[in-house]
Amino acid sequence: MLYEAGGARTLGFVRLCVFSIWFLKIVRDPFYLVAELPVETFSPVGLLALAPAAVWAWLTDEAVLRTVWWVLLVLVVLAMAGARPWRAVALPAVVLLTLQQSLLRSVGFVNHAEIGVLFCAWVLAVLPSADGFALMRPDRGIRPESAAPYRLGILLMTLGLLFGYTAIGAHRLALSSPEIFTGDSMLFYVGKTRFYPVDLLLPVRSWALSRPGLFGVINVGFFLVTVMEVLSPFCLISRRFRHFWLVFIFGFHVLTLLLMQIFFWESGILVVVLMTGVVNLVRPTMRPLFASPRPSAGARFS
Amino acid sequence: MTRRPDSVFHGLAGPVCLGLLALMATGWHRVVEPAGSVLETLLILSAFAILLRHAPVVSSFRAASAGYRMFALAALGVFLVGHIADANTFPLVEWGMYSRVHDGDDPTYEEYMATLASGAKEEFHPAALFPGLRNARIMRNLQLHVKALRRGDAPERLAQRRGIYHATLAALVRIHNRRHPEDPIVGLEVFSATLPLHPYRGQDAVERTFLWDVELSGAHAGEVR
Repeated sequence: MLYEAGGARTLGFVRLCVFSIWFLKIVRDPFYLVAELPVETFSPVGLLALAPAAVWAWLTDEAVLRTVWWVLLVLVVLAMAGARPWRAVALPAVVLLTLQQSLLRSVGFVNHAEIGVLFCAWVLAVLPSADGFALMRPDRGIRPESAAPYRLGILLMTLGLLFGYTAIGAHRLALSSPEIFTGDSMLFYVGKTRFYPVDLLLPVRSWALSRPGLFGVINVGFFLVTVMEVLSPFCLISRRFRHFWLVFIFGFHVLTLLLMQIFFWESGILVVVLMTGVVNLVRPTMRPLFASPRPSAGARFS
Repeated sequence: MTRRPDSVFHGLAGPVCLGLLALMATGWHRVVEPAGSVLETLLILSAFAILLRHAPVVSSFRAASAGYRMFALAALGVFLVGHIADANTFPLVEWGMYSRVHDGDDPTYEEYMATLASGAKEEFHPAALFPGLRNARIMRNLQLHVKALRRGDAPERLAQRRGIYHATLAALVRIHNRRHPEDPIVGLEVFSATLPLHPYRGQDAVERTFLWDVELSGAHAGEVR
């Protein structure tokens, strides 16, 4: 697994991937526009719920949110590059990301959508993830014999990612098994999908909806995916299971994209980075392109 | 047969996890209501407990400093506590997805039909304005207002809710109109729509019920009359 082979450069590569995801999310989302919504639209969650009315009014001011947007972009770019001092850059970035995500969840409802990639950002901010694969050289010597924090970082992110799958599967079993797998709930979920403003996949969805028999097969696949979700931690133990798991989970994500237009692309990237051997493909390019400490004693990903 | 030290069947956690999974798949656990949450927690813990006997995981954890180890436990603890406690805040959240049974239900939602200054009509998609809010967040917010307004409430609370609902829509239209000054939205109609699925007869079969108008001034787009 990646965490077993992980060193400073591997963790640095994951850092670049995770903060790149955040860059893409922030740059295409003018979230400061929520300031135009009436203040009564918000039901503050998380730490924002503790903010007094005056602070809340200040936080939802458009000028303040625009500034936050710009500051976040700068901090995330610096984090991508592994700027130093690392924690002085990364911790404000993840605190602001957490507040920004709390703000978005203060409109509508609270869900787990981005929490996996936010968790990874926190892990990377706390651990020394700018020691390798960074544009700036580490300001202190890295002891090559101690790959422990890098391995822990990658292990922790992998566990966080797998926890999400396990919890989702366990929750489904606890709340609604076996009816969720035997009835036509999936038909409902597919039918409920509406997308804006151009629904490119409507023909696919209509084709599926008009074939109720197909949902029998989908229900069987849904049950198997739920089993795979619950058993996600087994990926860390068995390579064969991990290969099965990847097939099922990617199949599930592709189907939800085609039939429900729901695609957690952030999780998809994290799965590829943390659970497959993609790091092996880019590893040869790491050294010449980026300053790094001495190579860690890293076995290849298996 | 010799068991490998990292086999999932080494120790109790693996068999417990698989046993719980098989039990819960049958739905037997739901006979007694609290059993669901308890078994769900046990299932998650047993699935991860397998890793406690997996040498590479344990050694990676042990090799790190005490501070990092505490951080790791705290970070994973936040996930677990949030989920088990069914928390509805952030970052403590419940991890549910496709967990509600909707046997025989037809999806119902709201449609916002915009009248443009040119006279053309097109569907208005508030969620398209805010990628970060996703479709579910802003539409869920509006849907809560619509449900309350249709259900009826004490007059003063109803008036307050109507005011917030219209002001929210007005703000959304104002943002839209800034992006489309050539043909701004001048009026909004709200419909309740149901898509029959039993059987599915195509999107043209959507049943719409007119709810109300939200008229907007063209000159001061977003100002609710």
